[in-house]
Amino acid sequence: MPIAFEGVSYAYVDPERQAKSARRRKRRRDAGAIEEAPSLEKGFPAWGGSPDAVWALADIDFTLADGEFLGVAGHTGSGKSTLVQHMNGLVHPTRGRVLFDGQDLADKRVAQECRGKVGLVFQYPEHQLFAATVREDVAFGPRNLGLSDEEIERRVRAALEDVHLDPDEVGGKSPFELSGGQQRRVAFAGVLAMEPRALVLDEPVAGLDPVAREEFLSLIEELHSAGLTVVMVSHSMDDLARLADRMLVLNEGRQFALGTPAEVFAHGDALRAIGLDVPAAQKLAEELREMGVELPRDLYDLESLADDLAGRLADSAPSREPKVGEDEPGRNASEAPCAAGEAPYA
Amino acid sequence: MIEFDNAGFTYDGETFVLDSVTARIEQGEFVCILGGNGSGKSTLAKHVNALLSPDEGSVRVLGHDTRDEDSVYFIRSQAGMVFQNPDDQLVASLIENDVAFGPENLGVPTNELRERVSAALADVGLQGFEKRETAALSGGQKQRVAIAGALAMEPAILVLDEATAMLDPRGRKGLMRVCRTLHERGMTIVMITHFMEEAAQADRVIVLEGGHVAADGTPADVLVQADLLRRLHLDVPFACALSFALKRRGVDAGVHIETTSLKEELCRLLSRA
Amino acid sequence: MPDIAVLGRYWPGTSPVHRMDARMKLVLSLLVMAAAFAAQSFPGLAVCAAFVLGFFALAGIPAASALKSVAPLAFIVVLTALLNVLFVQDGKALFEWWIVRVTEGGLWQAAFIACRLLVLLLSMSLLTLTTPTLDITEAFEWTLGFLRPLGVPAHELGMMMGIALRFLPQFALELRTVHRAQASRGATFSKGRLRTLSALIVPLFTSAFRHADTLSAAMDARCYHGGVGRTRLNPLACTQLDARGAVAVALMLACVIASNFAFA
Repeated sequence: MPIAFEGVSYAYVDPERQAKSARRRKRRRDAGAIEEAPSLEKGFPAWGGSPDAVWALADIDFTLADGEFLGVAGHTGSGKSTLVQHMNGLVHPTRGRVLFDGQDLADKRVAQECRGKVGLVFQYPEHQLFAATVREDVAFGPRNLGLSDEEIERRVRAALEDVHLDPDEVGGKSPFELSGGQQRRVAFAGVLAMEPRALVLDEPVAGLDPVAREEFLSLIEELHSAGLTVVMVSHSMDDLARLADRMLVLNEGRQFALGTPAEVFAHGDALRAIGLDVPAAQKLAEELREMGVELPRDLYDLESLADDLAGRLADSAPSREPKVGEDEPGRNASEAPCAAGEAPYA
Repeated sequence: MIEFDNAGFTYDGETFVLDSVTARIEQGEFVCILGGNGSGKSTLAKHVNALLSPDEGSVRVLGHDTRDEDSVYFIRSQAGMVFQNPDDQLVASLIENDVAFGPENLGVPTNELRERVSAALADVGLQGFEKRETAALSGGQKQRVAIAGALAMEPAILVLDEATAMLDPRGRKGLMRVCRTLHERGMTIVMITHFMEEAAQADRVIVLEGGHVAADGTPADVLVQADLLRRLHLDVPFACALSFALKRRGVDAGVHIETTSLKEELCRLLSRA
Repeated sequence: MPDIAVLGRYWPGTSPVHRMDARMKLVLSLLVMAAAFAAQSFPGLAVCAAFVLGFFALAGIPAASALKSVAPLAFIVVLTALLNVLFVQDGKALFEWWIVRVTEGGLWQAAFIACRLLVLLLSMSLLTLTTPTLDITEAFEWTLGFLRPLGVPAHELGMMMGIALRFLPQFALELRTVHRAQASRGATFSKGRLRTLSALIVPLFTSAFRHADTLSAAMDARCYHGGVGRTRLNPLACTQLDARGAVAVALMLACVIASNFAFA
């Protein structure tokens, strides 16, 4: 059990000091010493969010099991990024504790040691590239671990191969010559070269085009099936439903839901109430179910929904099908190319 | 209103990023431009605003040639532009100052500036935010401020160059809502995107491939061309993908680009069954 | 987003200090700086400091936040103080080791210079905390206006400063992200090795270039073409408030000069 969160709360500012300064401000405002700025009246401080929301995270309690794929969902500002930065001791909880293999990450030595074992990939990681060559950039982590030159060289090669880049071809290039998608792979390799046991990804596919996104997701899937524990923050419910073993949904810093995708998406209404979506196929299945169509599965993706719908239509009216085709003349022309290709919503 | 006539453009003098593009966008249209990386879609957007001018052929906006030096500021004030990264395009630290930046450059008198700022902020649903700091906003809000900054110049066209690419789903939806409202009031909207659910809401979709126009038509005509979209590294809308998946299983429910119409068709089929 | 007090961030408000004309504030903060230089004794400096902190209080900015806002520049204060400790050799020697000799006079001098610098930084910070960046830009432009006949691009210099101020908080955030990202890859910055430092600085530079590229396009797209023919949403205007501010600073100057005589 590598990472356990025990009643973790995190405050941007010291809560006691916050309360004190609020009292002081109130006293001075009552005395007429200061005017409240109109922009602050509605209760929004300069940096967004509400002023009472001192807590970025509140009472987070879960254990990440070895080899698990945990998806983390929630709006921007729901505390997702803060949560993942707790996982390798970059940020320490204000209350509660985070345990890594049973040791408290508040201890600096434990945190430093954990950095080699929990690889954290930030949003837009390509913005953190800095070295003159791809090889040097990827070697940065292993060098910090104080490894031998041969070991570093081996890890750099292995990491670049893991992200499907040819070490001989790109190794000597400047990372800034590469395309955006390739830069992200290099940054990713830089974390993999630490040979972590767990990989924590903060919106790994943000800003990529659909194909690059798909490639990156299958890369993550590969690494996970090779035994890595993965935590992935994402806005895409489709991606999470497809990849995650378990999902953690955050809302305003609180643990809103925790369970398998099927369990979490079974409560579509609750998710919609906090403004989150469910995967497209699941949403359609839910709507059809409301209209009285019997659909037995807990969680649908495109293929399984197509299977069940086709099954129902075939069961009840096999003889009708040719007639349905006639309803839409001309449309059949576009069937052939699609049947040859792969469905994007696998 | 926007006319590309055999327009060609090259950055390095060799490869043409835009290659004899001919297209005409009418007043009040909502056009989505799709294309993979390097298809020239951002270059195309910059031509509408006269940030770039064609090396071959011509681009005319509201009847003015973009190569005509005297028309540049007129064209820029009439074709507002919103860029991809919300953090890069705001000039000032206070919202009202940022929104006023464009009209200030045009020399609009002070008393009118105030009205334009509040009207523009109201249009994007941020009324009363005048005195807030831009740094305090979410990505979606920043993009809406950027739109307000363009609206304050009272343009006829709004060009969004992948303005939703870096936003979360909520920010994307909010931005789309703003664009649709503006469109309903007669604004011409040119939106560059790779999100299909956004393209499905447009009046017209233009697909670029290697600087050429590869397809041009209504979403219902273009977005169902699955082979073309895949070749260009684009997704197929969910409803369309499901329609095809059903077809492969011998069920013909027609081809839809919007889930609502697919759902209705399915219900019809199931009830008849 | 956590609250980071940085020099250059705007602290929204409607206090008298906020409402003052940006040009007046710029000139007055230059005067306060001049006064801090003119002060020859601790009491003189104390007068300056009291005035600056008084203005902070008037603006509704807590003293702690004020101090925090100049924290990123504290190294200048420390460095200057250290140099003074080492090079001023007046008075009784308190401590001697190898070539290092710390004297009583050196310590006094160091403390004095540190306080003076702190007052300077605070008055600069007060200006940026209470004035929107574009107003500072214009005040700067106006102040430099008398140099324009000499070919000094006053508007451009002002605009440059405004943009630099607008991006300061953003760079602070980005730097923190890069710092955390590299720390996740096992970097320790306490040793200050060149390679580890470049892992922070290079990303910051590339980010600055990236921002510059889009920002200039975005400004072009909004018809920016220099200061000619530009109007202003909030034209700067001097009011009675500014007169009061000027009087206050004039009084402070008088106090400082008087204290120079009294404690000379």
